[in-house]
Formats: sequence, structure tokens, C-alpha cells
Amino acid sequence: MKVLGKTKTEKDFIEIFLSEILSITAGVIAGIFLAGITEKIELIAGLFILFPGLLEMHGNIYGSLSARFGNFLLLGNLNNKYKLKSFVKENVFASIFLILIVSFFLGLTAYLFTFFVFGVENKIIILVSVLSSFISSIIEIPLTIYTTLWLFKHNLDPEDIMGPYVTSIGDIISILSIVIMVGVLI
Amino acid sequence: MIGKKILKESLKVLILGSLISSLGGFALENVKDKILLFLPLVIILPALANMIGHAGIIFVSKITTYFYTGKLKLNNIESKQVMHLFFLLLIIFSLASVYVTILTIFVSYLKGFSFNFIFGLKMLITVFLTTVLIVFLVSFVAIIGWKYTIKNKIDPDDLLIPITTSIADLGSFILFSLLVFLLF
Repeated sequence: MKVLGKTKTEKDFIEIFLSEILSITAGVIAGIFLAGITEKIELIAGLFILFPGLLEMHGNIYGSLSARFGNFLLLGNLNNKYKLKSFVKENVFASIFLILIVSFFLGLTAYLFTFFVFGVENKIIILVSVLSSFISSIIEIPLTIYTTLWLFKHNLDPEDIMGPYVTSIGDIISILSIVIMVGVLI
Repeated sequence: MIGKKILKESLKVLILGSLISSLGGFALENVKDKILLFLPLVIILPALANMIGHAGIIFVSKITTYFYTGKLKLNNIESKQVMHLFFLLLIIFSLASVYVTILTIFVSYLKGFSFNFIFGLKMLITVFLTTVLIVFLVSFVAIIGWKYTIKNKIDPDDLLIPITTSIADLGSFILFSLLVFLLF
């Protein structure tokens, strides 16, 4: 099957590969910010335990939000304003609630790991987890919704692009939030 | 209604996923001193976590759309279309692993990190093997989990993406930490 003169495979390859390259570049930018606080990372026990979970949580929640919204649009619901408004509102509240609860659990897990395994008590790790996640959600949720909508309206497949986009933008924003929180709290 | 459904389907699985991912983080924490010693290993971490997330989101959302649009049947998940998607991701992520390694070393060099050919090779081996494992893990977990979600009438986007990426997180960061421990 041909879409815009390209086969579906070529279109998928180009869209996924380019978005992957862009997102990796963004990930490396996030890594540069992270490298800026290596001295503090050494001091904060448990930050590396928190790290994969925190970044994944952002990807999971905003990735799912984007996937749900993408499916909602693909099923032809864009012109039903009432349905669209209600869908977005409920998804936003659910996402914020999930972010707060899950980030608390992540912080608690990192705290318990460091306490029981390494014998270090560091309650601040819970605060770093919750506050940095909340700060980043204020920016990431509207960004995810508007970008999915924009891609859909421009005949681009949100499924190919939003995964990498959400996680890479999320990485930069999350790491900046962590850097800010570490700076404020430590 | 939608919000409650999302919370009901997502909360437990996100918490479970976070706990699984934290185990991967625990592996990282164990080689923290080595990672902090080599700047490129710090810089590459978010990009690596990023790639795990992408692979999971793309694979799950694609097969879900194939199903909803009638291109995929529950009893035919190992179809040609799914295999095709697997190989597509394998090629893309292999190329991406080479790109991320070169970019990270280049950025680290600009920040004053001195490296040699052996270091570059070790870094490439570490990232490439971790990336290949990511694609295998994501596809394997997604295919098994997808059948479960569809049979139990659960939205795969809510359940499967967190679980797939968390298990991939765990496996990939354990392998990454192990390779860092052995090679650096």
C-alpha cells in the first residue's frame, strides 16, 4: 500500500527513525544536564534507583495519554466538541493523579532500598521524586495533548512520532525538574 | 467515567511497573561509582531509558491499532505484520545505538573527556547489546501481554505499555550495569 508516494514500510521507517534520532539527541541533551550535577548525584543516595522508574513513569503516563488520544482521534471523534472536551478533561485529571501517586511510590521505593540495602537514610529522595514529577507534569500534559492533535491534523501518524517525542521532551523536562529540585533541597 | 477506567486499569500496573524499573535502578546504583567516573556513561543514561520507552510505546500501540482496524486477529498475533514490525524496530534501534554512542562520545569530548579507541569500542558494544536486548524484551513481553489484555478486555495502551517498558528497563539496565562492571 502506498501513502503519499511511499510504501507503508518506508513511511514507518522514516517516521520512526527520524523521531528516534531526534529523541536520542534530546536524551543526550538531558544527559548533559544530568552530567552537570554528578557531584550531587554522588551525595544523594538512591538517585540512580529512582532514575529509570521516574523516566519510565513519564513515558508510560504521557505515552498512554497520547496513545489513547491518538486512538480517539483515529476513530473520528475530532469534530464532536463535547466528547473531545470531556475526554481531554478526564484524561488530564487522571494523568496528574497517577503522576503524584506513582512518583510517591517511586520515591518511597528508592528510600527503602537505600535504607535497607546501603544503610543510608535519605528522606529527601521522596520529595525530589514527587515535586519534580509535579513540576514537569504542568508542562508535559498540555504539550502531549496539543502535539498529538497537531500531528493528527497534519496527516502524520501520532503513533510513530509521539512515543519518542513524549519520552524525549519528558526526559529533558524531568531531568531539569530533578536538577532544580536537587538544587533547592540539597 | 473514562478517568475512573484509566485509574482502575493504570494505577496498580504503574506502581508495579515502577517497582520493577527500580530494580533496574538498583543495578545502576551498584555500579554508580564506575558510571560517575566516565562522563559518557552518565550522559547516555537518559537516552538509553528513552529508547526503552519508545520501543515499548511504538510496538504496543502499533499492534493495538492493527487489531482495532482488523489487520490482526487474536489467534494470529505472530503474524507476518508483527514479525515485520519486530525487524523494523530491530534495524532502527541498532542504527540508533551507533548514533547515540558516537553523539555521546563527541559531546563528552567537547566537555573535556579524553577517550581512546578501546573506550569507544567498549561503549559501542555495551550500548549495542543493551539496545538489541531492549527490542527482544519489548517484543516478547508485548506479544504475550497483548493476548492477555485483549482476552480480559483491558485497554493494551493502559496496561501493556507500562509493563513492557518496565520489564525492558529491568533487563536492559541489569545488562548495561553488568557490561559496565565487566568492561570498564
